[in-house]
Amino acid sequence: MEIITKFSNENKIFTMYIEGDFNFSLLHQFRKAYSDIDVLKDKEIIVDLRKTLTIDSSALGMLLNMQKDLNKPDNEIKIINCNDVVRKIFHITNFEKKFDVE
Amino acid sequence: MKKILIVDDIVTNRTLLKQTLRALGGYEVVEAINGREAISQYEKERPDLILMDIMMPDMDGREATTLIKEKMGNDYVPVIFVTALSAEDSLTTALSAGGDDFIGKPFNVEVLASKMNAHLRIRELNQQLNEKNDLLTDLNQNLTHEQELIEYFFENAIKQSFLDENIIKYHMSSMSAFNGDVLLVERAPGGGFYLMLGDFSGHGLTAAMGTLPVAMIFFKMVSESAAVGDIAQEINSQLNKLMPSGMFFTATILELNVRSDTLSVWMGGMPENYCFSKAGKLKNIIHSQHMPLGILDDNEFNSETQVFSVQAEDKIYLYTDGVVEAKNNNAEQFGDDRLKATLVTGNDNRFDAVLNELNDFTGDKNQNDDITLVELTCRHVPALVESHNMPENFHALSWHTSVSLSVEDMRTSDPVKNLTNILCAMPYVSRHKGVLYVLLFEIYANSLDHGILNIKSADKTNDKNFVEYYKRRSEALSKLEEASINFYFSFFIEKEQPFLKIVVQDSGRGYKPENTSNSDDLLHGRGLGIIHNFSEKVSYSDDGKILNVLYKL
Repeated sequence: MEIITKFSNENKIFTMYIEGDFNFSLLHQFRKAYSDIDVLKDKEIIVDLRKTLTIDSSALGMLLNMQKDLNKPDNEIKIINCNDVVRKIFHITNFEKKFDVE
Repeated sequence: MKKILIVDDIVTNRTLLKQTLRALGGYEVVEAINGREAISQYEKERPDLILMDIMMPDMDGREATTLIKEKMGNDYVPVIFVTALSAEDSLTTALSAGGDDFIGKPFNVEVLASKMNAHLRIRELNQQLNEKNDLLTDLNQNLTHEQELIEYFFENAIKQSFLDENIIKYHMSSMSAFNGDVLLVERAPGGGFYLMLGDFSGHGLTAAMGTLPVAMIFFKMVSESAAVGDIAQEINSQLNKLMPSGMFFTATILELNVRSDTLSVWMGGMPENYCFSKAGKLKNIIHSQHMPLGILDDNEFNSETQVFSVQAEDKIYLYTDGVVEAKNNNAEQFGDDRLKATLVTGNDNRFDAVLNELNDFTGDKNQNDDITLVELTCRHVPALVESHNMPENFHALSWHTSVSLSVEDMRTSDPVKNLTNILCAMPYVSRHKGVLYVLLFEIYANSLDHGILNIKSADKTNDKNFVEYYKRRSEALSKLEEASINFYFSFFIEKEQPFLKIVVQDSGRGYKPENTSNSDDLLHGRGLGIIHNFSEKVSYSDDGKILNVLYKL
C-alpha cells in the first residue's frame, strides 16, 4: 500500500494515487503527501483511486481534512477512477456534495 | 558409371552399340528389344540415357519415347534416336516425339560419344537444378510454416483488442507481412478505455517482434487500471532490456475516463494528435513531450502525462509517421501541412478524406513504411461487469459459522480482509466481496474503537484531533490484554433471495448508536452510516451490546 504523487500539465495539476486499501493505516502517508500546502494552494488537486481497492470511514475523514487544510471550496477536488464499491460509499455518505466524484 | 539403355529389335545393332560403348568405357549397358520393353526397362533400370531405334515391331521408337518422356516428370533422361532415315526427317521425328537428338546409321563413334557426353552433361545440370529446387521448396515450406506460426503469436497477442467501431475507426497497412505499427485498445475495468498507437523503428518481422511484450504489458496494466505514464514506464523498461540499442518504439498511450470528459496522454516521439469538437472546430493539437520508448534508462524516464478536457463526440486523430512520410512519384512527402489541411476541411468525413487524399497523392508508388491512421470518438464505454451466474438448478445449502477475533488478531493491521476471504469462498457471497469487506470493516472498527477501546467518535472533528484519535487508538490497542470480538454468520435463502445475517458481540461495552440521525455532518458517524446504507436491516439487542445486521446477497 502506498501513495504516489505526480505533477502534470506543466505543474498545474497535482495528482495523488492511492494504492490498495485506503484506511487509517495510510493516515501519515496521506497527510505527508499533501503537506507542502503553499505549493498546492493554487493547483488543481486530483485524487486518483484507480488502484484503490476499498476505502473506509477514516479515509473519508482524511479526505475531508485535506480539503480543509488546503482550503479548497466544495466540489473543487476531483476524485477519479473509483471502483463500484468506492463510488457507492461516496454516494451513501453524501461525499458528492463536497468532492467532484467521477 | 552411366547407365545406357539401348533399344533395337535387331540383335546385331544392339551388339555393335554395346561393343562401341564398352570400347569407349565408363558405361553400363541395359537392353530392350522393342518400344514396349523399353518402357518397362526404363522404369526398372532408371537409365541415364536412351539410345532408341525408330522402326520396331510392337511399339516403335517414337511412341515409346513419348510415353517414357511423360513418365519422366522433372527428371531429364535424354533420348537419342539411332536412325537410318535422312537427317531432316530424323530431326523432325526425333523432336516431335519428344526425343532430344539423333544420330544417323551407320554412326561415327566420335560423334556418338560427343553427343552422349553433351546430353549427359545436360542431364547432370538438370539433376543439380532439381536438387536445388527441392531444397528451395523445402526451405520455402519451412519458412511459410514458421511465418504462419509467428502470425499466430501476433494474432493472439493483439486479439484481445477492443476495436469497437463505435469508438475506433482505423486503417493499418503494413509494407511487409509483419507490421511494425501497433494499435491496441482495451476497456478499463471501471469504464472508459485505453488506446496505444506505436511504431517500432524499421519494419518487417524485426520491427514486429516487439509487439509481443508491448501487448502483454499493455493488457495486463490496463486490467489493473494503471495510469498511462506508468504503462509507458513499464514498456520502456522492458524494451530497454530486450531491444538492441538503436532500435526504439515511438508511442502514444491515452486513456479516456469513464465520464468521457478527460483524456490523459503520454506521448513519446509520435507525430501530433488532432482533436476536433463535435461542431468540427480544431480544439487541440497534442504534441509529443517525450523520447520514444526503449531508449532511456529507468532513472532517466519521465512518465509525466498531459491531461485534456474533452466532450462527448469529440474526435481525435492519431497516425504513424508512415502517413506524413508517404511519397509520391516525384519523391515528395505527403507532409504534416497536407494532413492538417485535409483534416480541417474534411468536416464530417475526415478519416476517409485523409485516406483518399493519401491514395491520390501516392498513386502507384510503392509504400515505403507501415501506415496507420486512427479516428477515435469520445464516447462512454461502460465498466466491465463480471459474470456471477449460478449454474442451473444450483441448490445452495444454508450454513452458519462463527469467528472470534482475539487481541492478537486485532493488533494485526487487517483481520477483516481475512474474514472476508473466508466468507467469499461460499456461493452467492463472493460477488459481494467489495461491499462486504467495507461493511465488516466498519462493524469491526466500531466494535473495536467504541466497544472495546472506548474512544469517542466525536473526537474526530478536526485534523489535529483526527490524528490524535488514531494515536490514542493504537496506544490503547497495544495496552489491551484480554478482549474478543465475535462474529456469527448465517446464510439462508428466503423466497429465492439469499441473505447473510451477521451478529456481532464484543467483550467490551458494545456500542449503542449515538448520532446516527446526524447524517448531514460528514465527520460524524460515517461508519454507522455506511453500515446502515449497505444493510437490509440493522438492529441492536442486549442493551446495545449485540449488533444484528441483515445483508441481502
